Amino acid sequence: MFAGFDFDVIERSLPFLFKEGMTFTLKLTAMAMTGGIVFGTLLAMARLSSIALFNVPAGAYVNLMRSVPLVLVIFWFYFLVPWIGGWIIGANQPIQVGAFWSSVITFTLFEAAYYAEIMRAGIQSVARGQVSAGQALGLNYWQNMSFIVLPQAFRNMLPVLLTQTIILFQDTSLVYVLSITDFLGAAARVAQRDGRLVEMYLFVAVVYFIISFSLSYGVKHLQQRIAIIR
Amino acid sequence: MRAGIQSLPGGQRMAGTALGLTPPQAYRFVLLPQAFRIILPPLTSEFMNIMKNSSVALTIGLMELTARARSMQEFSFQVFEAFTAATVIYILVTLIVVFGMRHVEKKVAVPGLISAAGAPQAGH
Repeated sequence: MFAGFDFDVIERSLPFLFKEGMTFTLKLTAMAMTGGIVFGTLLAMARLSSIALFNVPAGAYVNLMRSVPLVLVIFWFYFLVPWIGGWIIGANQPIQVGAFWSSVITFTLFEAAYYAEIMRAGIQSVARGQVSAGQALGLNYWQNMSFIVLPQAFRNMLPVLLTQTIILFQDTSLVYVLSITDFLGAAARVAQRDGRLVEMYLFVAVVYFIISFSLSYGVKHLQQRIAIIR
Repeated sequence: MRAGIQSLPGGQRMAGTALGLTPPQAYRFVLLPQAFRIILPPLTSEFMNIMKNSSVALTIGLMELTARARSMQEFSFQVFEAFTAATVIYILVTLIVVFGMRHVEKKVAVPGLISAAGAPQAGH
């Protein structure tokens, strides 16, 4: 397997891999992370609400997204999003949604369920006295949340949120099933065109390892610095 | 497993040594029974993760549930029916796992042994 290991194919395809593949992966990760955290926070607030109209659908959504595998959700959204988009704008046939936007929507909605569980734990970790003090000062629910509870919840949960983002970064490689050119997909194309499977997949593994390992190391460092001793 | 064993008080291992148990015996009779009971809830999520992650095997051509649903969809062009069937099966399996593990937890529970707190874990 290692006889005649061809470093040249890796060198030749570096521009393609990084300019096409890695930029897609990073764009998808960044957009899914922001959208996921925003939507996840709203879901967490809905789940913690005492109004059944909010907490039952939010709970059902989070449990549903956490029970099905990501690959299946990718396929679902790939077929569903054009139909839903057509229904929203009132067209009588599905609209054209590219693979990129379909995968952004998929990952945002899927990861929102995981971020929602993390944010729910974060909101519950803020002392009850904080909420009462905010109400005593005359703040309404939204002001309480945005000025008092959520900043503390984010700070408490930052390491877990970043760990979930690292997992999201690795999961974006699953868009391979839609034949999208993310980092792994680009390497797979080069590998199949040049017949150099071992070199390309090893290189991809090394790159993912370096990125994920250094990010987790940074998260561990961050956790030691911002941990609040109670 | 490591978190479960480390969450036990150090006195358990020392008490085992004081009773004359060798380390393997201490693990078998004192530490591991407690550790397994403590980690049952996170173990349930890991169990479910493994079942969901089996779907990634479709990238190497293994025809597991998601791959078969996709081939059903490609054969018959019935997108929603095929994927709904796969989704329902995954949800049913998850529910069975959750209820089964809850039953196991109740059966092996030791009164007074507190299980690990439900800290949020990042996951797939």
